[in-house]
Amino acid sequence: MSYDEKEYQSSSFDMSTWKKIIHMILPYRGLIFALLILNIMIAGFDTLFPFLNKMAIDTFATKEFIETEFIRFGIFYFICITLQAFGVYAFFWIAGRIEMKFSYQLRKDCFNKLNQLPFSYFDKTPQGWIIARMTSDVGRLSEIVSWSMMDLFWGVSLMVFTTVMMLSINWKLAILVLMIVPFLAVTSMYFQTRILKSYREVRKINSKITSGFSEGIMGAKTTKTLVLENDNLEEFQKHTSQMRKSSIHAATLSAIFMPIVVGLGSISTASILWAGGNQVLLGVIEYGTLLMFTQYATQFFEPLRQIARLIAEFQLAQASAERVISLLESPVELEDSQEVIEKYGTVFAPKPENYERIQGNIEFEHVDFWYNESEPVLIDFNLKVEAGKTIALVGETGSGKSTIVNLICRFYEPKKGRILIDGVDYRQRSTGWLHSQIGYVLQAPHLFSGTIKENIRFGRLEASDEEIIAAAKMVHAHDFIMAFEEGYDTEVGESGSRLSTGQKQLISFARAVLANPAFYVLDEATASIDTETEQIVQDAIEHTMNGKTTFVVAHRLSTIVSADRILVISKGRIIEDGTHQQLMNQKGSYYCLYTHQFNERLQQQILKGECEYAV
Amino acid sequence: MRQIRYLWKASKAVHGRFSAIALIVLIYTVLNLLSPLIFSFYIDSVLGSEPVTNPLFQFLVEKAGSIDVLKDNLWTGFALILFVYAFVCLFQYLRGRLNAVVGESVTQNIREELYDHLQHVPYSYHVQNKSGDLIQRCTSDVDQIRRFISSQYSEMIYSVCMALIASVLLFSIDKQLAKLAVVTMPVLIVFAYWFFRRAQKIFRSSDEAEGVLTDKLTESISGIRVIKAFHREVYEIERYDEKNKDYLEKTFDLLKQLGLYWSFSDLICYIQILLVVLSGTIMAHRGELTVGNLFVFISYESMILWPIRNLGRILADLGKVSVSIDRLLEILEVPVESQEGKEVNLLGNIEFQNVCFHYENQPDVLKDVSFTIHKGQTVAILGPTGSGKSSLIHLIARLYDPASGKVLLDGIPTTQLNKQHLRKQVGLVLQEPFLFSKTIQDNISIAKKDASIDEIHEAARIASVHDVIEEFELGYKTMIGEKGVTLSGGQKQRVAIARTVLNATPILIFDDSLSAVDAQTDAAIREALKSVSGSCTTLMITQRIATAKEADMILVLEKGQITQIGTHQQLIGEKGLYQRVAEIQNRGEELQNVV
Repeated sequence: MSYDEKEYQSSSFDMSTWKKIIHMILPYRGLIFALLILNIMIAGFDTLFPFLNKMAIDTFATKEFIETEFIRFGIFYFICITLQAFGVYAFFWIAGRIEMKFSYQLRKDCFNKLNQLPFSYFDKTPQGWIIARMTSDVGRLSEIVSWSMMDLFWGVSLMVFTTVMMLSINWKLAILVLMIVPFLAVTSMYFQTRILKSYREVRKINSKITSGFSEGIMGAKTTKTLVLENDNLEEFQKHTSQMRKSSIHAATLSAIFMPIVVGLGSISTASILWAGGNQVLLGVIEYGTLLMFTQYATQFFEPLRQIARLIAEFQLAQASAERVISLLESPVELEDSQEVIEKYGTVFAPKPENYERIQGNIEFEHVDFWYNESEPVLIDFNLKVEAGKTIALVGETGSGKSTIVNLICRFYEPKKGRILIDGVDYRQRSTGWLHSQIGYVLQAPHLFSGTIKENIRFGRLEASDEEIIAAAKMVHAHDFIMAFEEGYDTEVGESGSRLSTGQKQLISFARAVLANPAFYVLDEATASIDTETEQIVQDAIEHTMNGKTTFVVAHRLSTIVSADRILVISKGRIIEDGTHQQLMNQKGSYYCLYTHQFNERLQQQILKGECEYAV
Repeated sequence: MRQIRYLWKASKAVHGRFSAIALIVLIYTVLNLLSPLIFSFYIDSVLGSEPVTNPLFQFLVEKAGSIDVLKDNLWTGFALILFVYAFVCLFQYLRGRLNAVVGESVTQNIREELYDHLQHVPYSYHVQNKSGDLIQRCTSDVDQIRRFISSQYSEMIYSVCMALIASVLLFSIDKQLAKLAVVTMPVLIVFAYWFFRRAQKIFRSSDEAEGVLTDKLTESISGIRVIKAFHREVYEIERYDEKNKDYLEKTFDLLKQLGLYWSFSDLICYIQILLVVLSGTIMAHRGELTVGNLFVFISYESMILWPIRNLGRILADLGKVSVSIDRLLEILEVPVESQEGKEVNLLGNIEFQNVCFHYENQPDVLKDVSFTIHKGQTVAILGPTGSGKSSLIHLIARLYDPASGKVLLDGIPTTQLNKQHLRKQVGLVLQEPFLFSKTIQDNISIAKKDASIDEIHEAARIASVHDVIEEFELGYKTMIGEKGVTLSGGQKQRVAIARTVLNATPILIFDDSLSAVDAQTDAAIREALKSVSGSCTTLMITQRIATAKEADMILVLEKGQITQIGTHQQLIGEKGLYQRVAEIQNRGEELQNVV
């Protein structure tokens, strides 16, 4: 809801945005053209019916009644009605088609774009913002380019046709109707903008009420312990009375506007009776014309009344378009060079047949890196890792461990220096080449909604069921999976919510194993899991690492102890480097770190573990 | 029926206005129907030569002197129409305004009632119910009801009045043609009703498809690391595309259905008009109907048909309104906590006498628990997850009552104490505390609005969070939540501790509320607490042996029973969970020294 408040800021007409919007709707020009024709037809019929009514009265009711002609008239009228009904259906069909196809394509483009954008984009951009762009903005924009655009065409055609019809039949009476137009246009603009503004205010307060409810409900337990019930209600009541006031204000504006429109229209109607009556007496027109003009007077003002709303909607469309375009035009930082694309393909059209198999030698050469230029994370970082080794990265939060891992995965690229994989700067290969050969296990394992099997298969899409089961067995996940009633077909729930953290971790291991990667990157979970699962995860790690280069951002003592090499990272530098034994002998920071923190963690794990055999 | 009763009750303050709306709409309808009659009178009797039958116009003719006076002064028609419309406008305004006043007042009542009720239902209700669902009810269901009161109610009256009065007038003009003029009305209502009842399913499936699409998007964004790491961009794009297509198809389906509805009902309306135009023309030609009356028929027809079509839709919507009210009643019928009981100022002595406790329809969580804590003592509670630690302290704050046995505070059973007054004296910090989206300062002082800045800073220092807060650009004025900073779990816990210690309460309880804080900070907080908690009874649920070591008394809870009570010195020498924990801990230290 919060983005709702910002969405009305751009109000001036921006040509370049509209050029882009037009460019976007160009693929649907056929449909749009058809819709235009249809609109003209519908408006034409709308204008025709009052005229037919006039004919009925003036030709048949009051003058000569020729039966055959009357029958013909009736048939013609009926055909028009049927065509009109078809027209309305076709209108919905085509406008709906345009709306849906347009929004479909736009969402698709946005989603493709999201898959190309670098990680830094997701660091900077809140998830809610992206989702709002791809839901409400895309929805609004496509609604306006289809329905509102057509409302506009219909309204304009209707007014043009009616004006022509009225002028051609009786210009004096026509002027009586037309003279209201400027007044109505001015009042409409005046009121509609105010009404829209007041409803905006209402929406704003409404979002306050919604968050009031959500705080009241989610914080209910805290409210009870602190006895805040009355204070909270008082605060909430401020919003509800404000809501009442603003809503009534907005509705009152409409309640004034509508009668003014009706009143202005009635001046036309009343003048028609007066002037038209005189003309009837003079024999210039007949009664049917009188009826026709009263009907025209009513339908003529309908589009005019909407005009301000339409203008406001187009402003909204522009604002929405600007935001969607800003997403679509976000720069793709890590763009591959032309030669790389030629050989390895792009993200969307990879050429895996040209991928060289990675051996697992990784080297950092004078690497500088920062997220914000003012806060460098790594400066002149050097590291050489031979294939097949297990490297444990150890250090405090914010020391740069995760950054090192992110750079290896090329989620980010070095700002200075190079990272060599098997002796080649990885920027000379595509990201696809690298990513298809990494086994990556996240600290907080992310699963997708779907079954366990689907989640494991994510590692290698063409894997058979047997291979999936083999991977699960390898990381000891098979047993707990089979304990579920539906085994591998168990739904994991939204982001895996139906599984415990430990279970999610095992599945994400299985997923990585299935990919049969050239090297592993593991970000070990800090979240405590029960001892039994912990042991299983431990075994899983040792199994998977077997013989392959592995980087572990490590938290568990046993993982670290069994690593070939331990790097203690502090403030973006390697301060200690060696095996466990070597580092313990040094009695440096590694030694300190472990006598303090590990003790603590162990203690907690033991307590948590107690519940295993206590319950 | 109970839905209507509820609406009646919720709108008690504006009952009179409901009738006023009905009256205003009635007058408004009649006024609207007058204008074609005026036209008809002028066409037939003033411009033409038909006799005046309508008493209203007979009166007008009498006043004017003769028909010819009116004929020479056609401006009278102009004036008459404007006169009628002046009232139409007035009543239209009144209707719009009253609708809003009534709708918004009732909605305000409902919102406040819901909010207040939700705060006073028992703690267990909030534990059991999903907050998303409750919020949904408080917003969209309330809105459904608001729409009904503020517009659909008067629309319904308008449609019915319009159809009835217009029909009466038409029948009084010509029975035969009038019969023909109303023939499609039932079809139209039934069709609209039937369509929208049926369409609800299609609407829902389109909404659901949109929900699925948005879920997929959310999931992809939050899983973007995994997607990239496995090079699954194309795969994800395909999966998103599937959902995108599904949404496209379902919504397009809906639009096609709507197109069918509008075109078909338009067809019915136009056929109705055609019927009247054709038969009216024939009758007028035969001299059975005056031109003016034909004019009335045609004009009324277009005035009736559209409201009638709308009526069908509103009737179909009534089902939704009734479901919404039901969903609110489900909340409102949950009994609230009692506000009864003695208001006693406590010293801090706590005693459990053979307390048993279980959640609704669940096995016992606490079994025959007895212990005594004297005021000023610090007590550590230790035990595996699920052993009943949290339940035990919830009983002290009377968030629940024991199933049997007694919880005594200063010798008085808690069940005799006023809940709110009791809770004000028990500073309870939950494990996952909720912070409100206000400034940090307002959050800390939320339960003591008149606290001075110094007091707030002091509380924050005790909770070891002062320095953290000062590091924020806006310091204590930093907003928490979406519009400000997101605090880490440990920071949240510490702000919650500050908020609780700001009020000097005789009993302080920490429900494992230092779990997300590192050991050093934990120790610092405990040290600082000693200065304020000297006189008050402190209970700490903890996973840390270091915390237990310092306590005056340790309670070990296993499977809902107290298995050990004593100090660290006593328990370390006793066979049991405490000793096992301590031993394993030693083993851990040894392990490190060996390798």
